[in-house]
Amino acid sequence: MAAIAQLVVSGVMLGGIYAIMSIGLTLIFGVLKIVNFAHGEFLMLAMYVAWAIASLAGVNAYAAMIFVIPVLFGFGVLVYLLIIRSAVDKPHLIVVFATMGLSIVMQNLALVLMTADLRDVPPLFGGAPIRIGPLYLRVELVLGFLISVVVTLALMVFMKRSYLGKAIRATVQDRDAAMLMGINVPRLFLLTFAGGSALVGLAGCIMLPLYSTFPTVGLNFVLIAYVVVVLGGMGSMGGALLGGMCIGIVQSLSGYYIAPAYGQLFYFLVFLLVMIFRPDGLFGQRGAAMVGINE
Amino acid sequence: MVALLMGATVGIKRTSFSAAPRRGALSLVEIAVLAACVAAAVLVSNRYAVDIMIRTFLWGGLALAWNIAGGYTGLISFGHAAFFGIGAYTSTILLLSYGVPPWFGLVAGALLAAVAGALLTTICVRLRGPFFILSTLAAGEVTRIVALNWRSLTGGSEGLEIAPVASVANMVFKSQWPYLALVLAYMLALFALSVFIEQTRHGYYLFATRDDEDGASAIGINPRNTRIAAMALSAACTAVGGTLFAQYFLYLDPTHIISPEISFEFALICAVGGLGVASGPVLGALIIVPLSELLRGWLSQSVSGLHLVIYGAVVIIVMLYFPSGVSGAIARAWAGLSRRAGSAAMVGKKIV
Amino acid sequence: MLRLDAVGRRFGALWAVRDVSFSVRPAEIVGIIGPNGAGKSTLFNLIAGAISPSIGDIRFLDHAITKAKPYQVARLGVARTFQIPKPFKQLTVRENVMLSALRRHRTPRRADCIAAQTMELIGIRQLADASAASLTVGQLKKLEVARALATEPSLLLLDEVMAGLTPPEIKEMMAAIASLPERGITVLWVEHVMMAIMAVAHRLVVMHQGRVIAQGPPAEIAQDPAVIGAYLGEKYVHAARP
Repeated sequence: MAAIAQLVVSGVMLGGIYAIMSIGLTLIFGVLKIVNFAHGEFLMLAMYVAWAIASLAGVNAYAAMIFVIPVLFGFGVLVYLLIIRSAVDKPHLIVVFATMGLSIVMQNLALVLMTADLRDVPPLFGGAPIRIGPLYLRVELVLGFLISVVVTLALMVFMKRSYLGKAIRATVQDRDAAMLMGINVPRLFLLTFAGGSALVGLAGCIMLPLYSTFPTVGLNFVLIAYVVVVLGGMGSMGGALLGGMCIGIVQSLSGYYIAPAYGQLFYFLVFLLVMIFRPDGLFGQRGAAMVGINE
Repeated sequence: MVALLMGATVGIKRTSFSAAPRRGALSLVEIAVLAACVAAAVLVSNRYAVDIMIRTFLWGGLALAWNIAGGYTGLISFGHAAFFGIGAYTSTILLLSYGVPPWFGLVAGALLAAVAGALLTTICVRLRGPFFILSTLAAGEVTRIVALNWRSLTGGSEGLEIAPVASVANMVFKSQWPYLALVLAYMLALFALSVFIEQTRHGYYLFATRDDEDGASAIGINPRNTRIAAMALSAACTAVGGTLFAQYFLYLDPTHIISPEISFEFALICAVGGLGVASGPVLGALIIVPLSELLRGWLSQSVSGLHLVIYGAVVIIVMLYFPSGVSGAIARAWAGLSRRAGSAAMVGKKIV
Repeated sequence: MLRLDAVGRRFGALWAVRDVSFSVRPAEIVGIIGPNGAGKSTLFNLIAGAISPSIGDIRFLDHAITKAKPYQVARLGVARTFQIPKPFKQLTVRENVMLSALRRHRTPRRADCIAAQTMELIGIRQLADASAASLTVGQLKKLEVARALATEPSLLLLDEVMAGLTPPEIKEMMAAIASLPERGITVLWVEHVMMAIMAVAHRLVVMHQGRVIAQGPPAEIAQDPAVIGAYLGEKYVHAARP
């Protein structure tokens, strides 16, 4: 009994972290209607930058956020201006391949510059777990979860209340109508892409204490991110959070009861099942998956 | 964007990002390219160069197979490595465990892959755009993980090895020439198949389904069945390539065979060469495979991975500035030249 | 030829089409008219197979096509146009029309002949090698009709083909449509451009708020009080001449 509780809770917490990693993707997906196949590499970049700051300045990864988030924001602006902007209105194929190319470039630049060695940061408090009731949880996990939830909720409030948030939601629903309403959609695209990248920066800082970073670390996580985004529904923050938690639980339980290797298999199966039965995700716009993105 | 691409073309004002039906026979450029391939195969004897040619032709054929689903029908798949793996593993397992010659194992692999492809498309038939792409990615990964963990069948991460004992029945050869002939035949056969599709009503139906499903339905095309058939055919052809791969390299393991990287390569070769035209994958393979081998040779000495950085950058540049790929660029250049030469007889003639 | 029996379709609580019954006889040109929101488009899509009725039956010749999918309906010999044209943008005009012809003629060469004839009939022969993506609205509409005709249907469903055409184009289209019964094609036509449909249709079906409120030849319909009431409002009913 305690085992299940332990698994579920740690799964939920892991899920929260998966969620924050995926929120940038779902935002970009929802607003720009494109898939950034280099999303995992953005995460990898964030983790490396966080590692670099943490190692050089002797601070922990969370403090490094102050620097990492703006860096990733700037990187997002750069990528948008150089690559994404000209590809947005073209057949989605072009963005897919272009971001794939970017992903290859980034992975291998990392390999060239940083070598394949794993990099990590020392654990907080010497690695002692926190005890919450009968459960033992890693500090970094709990901290990461809390930050993720707070940020996600803050984002949800932001989306509902602020002008920018409303503009974003409007553009997700109907880009042309949004333009007619006076929303500067091209600038919104830039902000969303850069903002989504900044969120990945945040995620990287949270994840570095839990996972080591290496050039292809993005590949593991990007697939999870896609699953979370699809499960939660394109463009939905709350959906990403809940979707992340589902995946976290599925992975946690299947990893323990079946086999760690099969953990990955299960969330792909979940993905395929969702695609079959509810392709718009749990909270997404009905019909989005049928119509496709560029129609 | 459409207007930009139409630019210099005279006569047929075609948007040419993707394929369109073909009139008449092969163009001069195509004939020249194919002839060059055959000539190279016959004339070159340097061992290293022949190895590159084998890889190039094999990948050319595999890309042509991918193109049937991706370029002609619009089913962009990043999971084709699964079919590749099914072909490779089926024939190899049949060979190692039951002594079935790969010549027959090839057929078995193709059939199995066709079923898998049909199944995948049936499941994902309602999905469009990135959702479909991601589903194929997921399916590919599922296949990889299953192959990795089903040790009794596939040998897991240790992989399977075919004994390097020369035997025609077992499709193992001592010299490179038979392999070269096989893969060249493979590529030429798929090229012929692609041209056949482009010239007949089958191609028209694929293009229609790709471009506008509702419009296609309205003229009596069953989009669902068309898609399923296209994917099954593409999968079967890919599987055959997988068998050839297994017989040449004599070693398989899931991580390298059923990987997203391989899936991406098929798609990339088509994208760079020109999606949805028969010559596209061939040109793409001729450029990409030798390029990546050469880059790997020069640059990995100093730093591992640098060649891929360049490779990735090439992809980005091609996608942003040459969306119709190399074949599209050639077509436009040719048309531009003809226009300058004052030739008005280009109407009705497809160039590349 | 085509027969609708008490056909209805609801979306949630709203009945877009309700209790619609009428038939179309061979070699007729039947028009469906009605004010905006009358349910004409829904009815059109019900017949074409894009959506299915919630209740009622639709029969074409001897087949029940109530639940048929669009491609099945098309294969039975019913062709349709789209209100917002859906050409195959990557292909030329000629190739677009050829595609339709390929249903009955196996080879592209023969399809090309049929395509040429059809384009001649509709008057777009000179556009044959232009990319479908580069056409004007009027040309696209003509392409829509050409594509539908190239399938050599027995019943042609036209969805507001006149919208966006210039007066000369409207006249051309009217002539083309009027000539169809002679070629053995029956026409069912939804339209807003009154001048065109009143002049060409043999019979009109008037819809209002999802129901059929009148059926008959154009001359009678023009005087029908119910029709005037629907279009202009109740207070103009008195304008109907007895």
